[in-house]
Amino acid sequence: MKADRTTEKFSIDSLTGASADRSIKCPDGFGHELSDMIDSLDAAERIIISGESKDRNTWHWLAGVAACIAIIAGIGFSAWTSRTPEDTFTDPAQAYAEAENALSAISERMGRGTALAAKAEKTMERQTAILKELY
Amino acid sequence: MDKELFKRIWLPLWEDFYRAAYYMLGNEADAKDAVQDLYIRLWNVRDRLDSITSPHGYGLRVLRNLCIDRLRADAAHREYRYPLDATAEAGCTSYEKDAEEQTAGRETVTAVMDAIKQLPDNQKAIVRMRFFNLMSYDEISRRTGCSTINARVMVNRARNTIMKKIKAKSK
Repeated sequence: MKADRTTEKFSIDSLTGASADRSIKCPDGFGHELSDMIDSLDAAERIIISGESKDRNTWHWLAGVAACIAIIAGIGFSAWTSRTPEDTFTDPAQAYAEAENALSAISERMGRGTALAAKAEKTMERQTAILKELY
Repeated sequence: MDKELFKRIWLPLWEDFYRAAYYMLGNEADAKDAVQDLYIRLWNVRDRLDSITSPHGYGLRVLRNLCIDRLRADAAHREYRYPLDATAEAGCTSYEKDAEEQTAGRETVTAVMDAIKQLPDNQKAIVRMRFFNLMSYDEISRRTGCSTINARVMVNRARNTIMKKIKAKSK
């Protein structure tokens, strides 16, 4: 009999009824104590877990900083080396035209030089002829 | 499940749980202990509680088993035979193991709290900001006036001190 009464006392239906029984007074401030206890559980967990992984996190942080520096340096170097020199062309037609102009300028100068040389030669021939007549 | 969500779901039920515990155990001190044990148990398995559709019913079942355990421990000469609800035990296989885990959980938290109390005031304040109020290092730096790096260093020092004290206590 006793076991039956006790079993009934601990049935879920009885407990559900008891949980709603307002004649059972709840202690003042116990809700805050439970809230503080949960805060402590959470904090303790964080302290212990972070303490165990502290070294890993430090290395991860350092590796991340090093990786950022490497990436920034790589971007900077890439940007510096990929600058286009001022005296090159990206358009082949434009490059051909400029080359043609340059060669024409060289040819014109060479032509003037050749004419001067021919004129100088004729002058020397006349002077030589005059000298031969004198002697 | 994070702390705030856990509190939002489970804390409002504490009065119902307390009344049920008082009904079973008959006095305030035991009922408070049982409810604290219940919340420690729920906290330890909080990641598995997302699927619980009735926190009230689930909590009562776990509380019932905890109170039965307490009564068994208090009165070993009595014979209690109750149909125990296996589904209320998330991952635990024996009540003795549960009691040990509860004790270990309480002792660890107590050790951490005691270690925090012994810290210098500046470290104590920073530990509270970082681990209780979950503030970022930038926020701690703004609040205290020290640099972010100094805040990190102080948190690390405090954590090392706490871990040493916990390990010393567990020996």
